[in-house]
Amino acid sequence: MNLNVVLFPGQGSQFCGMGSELFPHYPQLLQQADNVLGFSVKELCLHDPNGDLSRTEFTQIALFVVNALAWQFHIDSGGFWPSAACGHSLGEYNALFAAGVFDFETGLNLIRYRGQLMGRQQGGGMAAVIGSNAEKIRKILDDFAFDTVDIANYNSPRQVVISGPKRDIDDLAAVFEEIPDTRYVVLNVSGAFHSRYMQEAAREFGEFIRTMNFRAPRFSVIANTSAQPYTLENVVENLTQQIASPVRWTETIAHLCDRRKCTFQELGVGNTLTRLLYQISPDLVPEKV
Amino acid sequence: MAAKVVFMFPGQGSQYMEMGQELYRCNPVFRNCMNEFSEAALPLLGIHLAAELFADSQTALTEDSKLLLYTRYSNPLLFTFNYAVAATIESMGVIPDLVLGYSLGELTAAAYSGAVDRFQLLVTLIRASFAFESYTPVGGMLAILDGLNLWHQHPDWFQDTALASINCSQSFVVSGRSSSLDRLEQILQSQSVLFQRLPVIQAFHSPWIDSAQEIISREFDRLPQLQTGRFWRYGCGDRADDPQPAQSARTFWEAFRDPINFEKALRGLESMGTNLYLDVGSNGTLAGFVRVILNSSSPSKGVAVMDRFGHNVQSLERAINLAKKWRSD
Repeated sequence: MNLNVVLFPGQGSQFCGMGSELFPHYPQLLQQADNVLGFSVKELCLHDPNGDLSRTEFTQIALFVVNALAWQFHIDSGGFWPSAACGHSLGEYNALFAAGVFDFETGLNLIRYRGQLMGRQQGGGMAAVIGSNAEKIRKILDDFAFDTVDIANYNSPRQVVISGPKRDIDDLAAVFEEIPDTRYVVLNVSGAFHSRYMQEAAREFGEFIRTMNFRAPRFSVIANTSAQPYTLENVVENLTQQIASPVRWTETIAHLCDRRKCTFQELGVGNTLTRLLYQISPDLVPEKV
Repeated sequence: MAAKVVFMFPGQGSQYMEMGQELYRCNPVFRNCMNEFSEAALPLLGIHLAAELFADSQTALTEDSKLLLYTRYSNPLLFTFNYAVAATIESMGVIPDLVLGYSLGELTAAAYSGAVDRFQLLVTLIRASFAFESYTPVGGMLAILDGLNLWHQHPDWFQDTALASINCSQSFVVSGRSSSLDRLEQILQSQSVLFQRLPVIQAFHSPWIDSAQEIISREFDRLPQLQTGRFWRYGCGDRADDPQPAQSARTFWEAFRDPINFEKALRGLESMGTNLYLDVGSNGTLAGFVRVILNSSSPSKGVAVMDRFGHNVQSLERAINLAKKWRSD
């Protein structure tokens, strides 16, 4: 059986000017977003007048809106109706929105609060380590006594993102420089997302969403934290945990591709996930995806 | 002019669990139709509508309330159900001269009359329903079993609501956000006015669904040009002095958005002659309105094909016999 899957990217994909081709089609949706948020998302995405786009509380909102419009455009222009969806970190909200778990306004409110909580935690940093697998990286971190640093994203068999105190993330550059065939890139983020340092943010977020009403997904959505499908019962738990736990992206894709052929389409900003797919898929999907 | 038979297709609010169960068990036309639509909807909905409607609570995937309440399910469910009832009546020898659609019923009537492919419209309706859920605020509809003068005399009671539907001299419906309707319910209770909250979570026929307009009209615009169909089709939208057949797919958005004036639509049909109005819904609400609207001297008649008491086969046969007699008179 062939599985049609849509993918939604998360933070790191944003750029000034994103969404320009989508905005003219959806003035009413943009108006709805602006009414909820109290500012112009379009301005933020196209011109970033206050230099906010790199601040996580704005990055997340902007990406959510552009990803959501891209989803709607996909459907409106006769794109396939997916049988599954997943998204990377913030992108998981777009997957859930596409699956009808919450409405657009609720999505905006969730993202706004998530971004505020995650943006409050200062002094953290993240870095991508390319060329090595997670096991090796964990061992290096342990060997050099960086037990303050967590693995935040298992992006592909050869790309991992680590998360921890800014100082340690910076210091680790020197360590990884010595490792052959490995590239170390400090990411332009304001906090140690998907790590133990987000536990307080996760707890507060959990309080916030506990009382909200969600709906069962109308197609399969695979969760970052567990690499297992969402159900109505685990929405609150998954979204809460996701903030302070690693994104198991490789496993998520593996879960989808288990004994099936998948056709993936990345919707939204950029093509990060499509590139990751090529790193993951040769082993998982023998035939070309 | 000869007396005509009109099929009336109802809208949101007429659904209840196990509606048509006896018919589903005993009548192959009804059962096949329900199953055919349910299978066409399955890839999008992930559930089999008929199986859910008639399942006992042990085997049902969707909690009853959600099947009836969520627009994504209730719209295709009513579309399927009312189409299946009409097809069953036709299979027993009664063909309408014209069809009247109330709200969502305009779409069902269009599909039934063959103006648009029924499966194509079903899929479009489901996608439109997804858009309703995604892009409009949670709201509701409240039927008030009293005269419209309440609306005019007490604007303060009806604050932040919109007049969604005028049914007859004893029934009108307002739409709004849930909080506004909760407030209104309290007022009506204290004034001993009868009301009924409809099983709906979108404020249809009001400005509170406008945020989804661009998405939903585009959805309908993708349908092919509507055909004339087998019957004259009429809607109940309060948009013209005379009832007008729905011509283009764009009017399907208006079917959900424009205020309804059922009384006006009915009087329009009455001015054209004597009619037997068959309510192909599950609870006979529209037939009830017709009886209130028609004065005792009118030779026309409103008849329910089904009611909530479950003897579907018997009540269906009664309605069919009446229609046949009507034709031969």
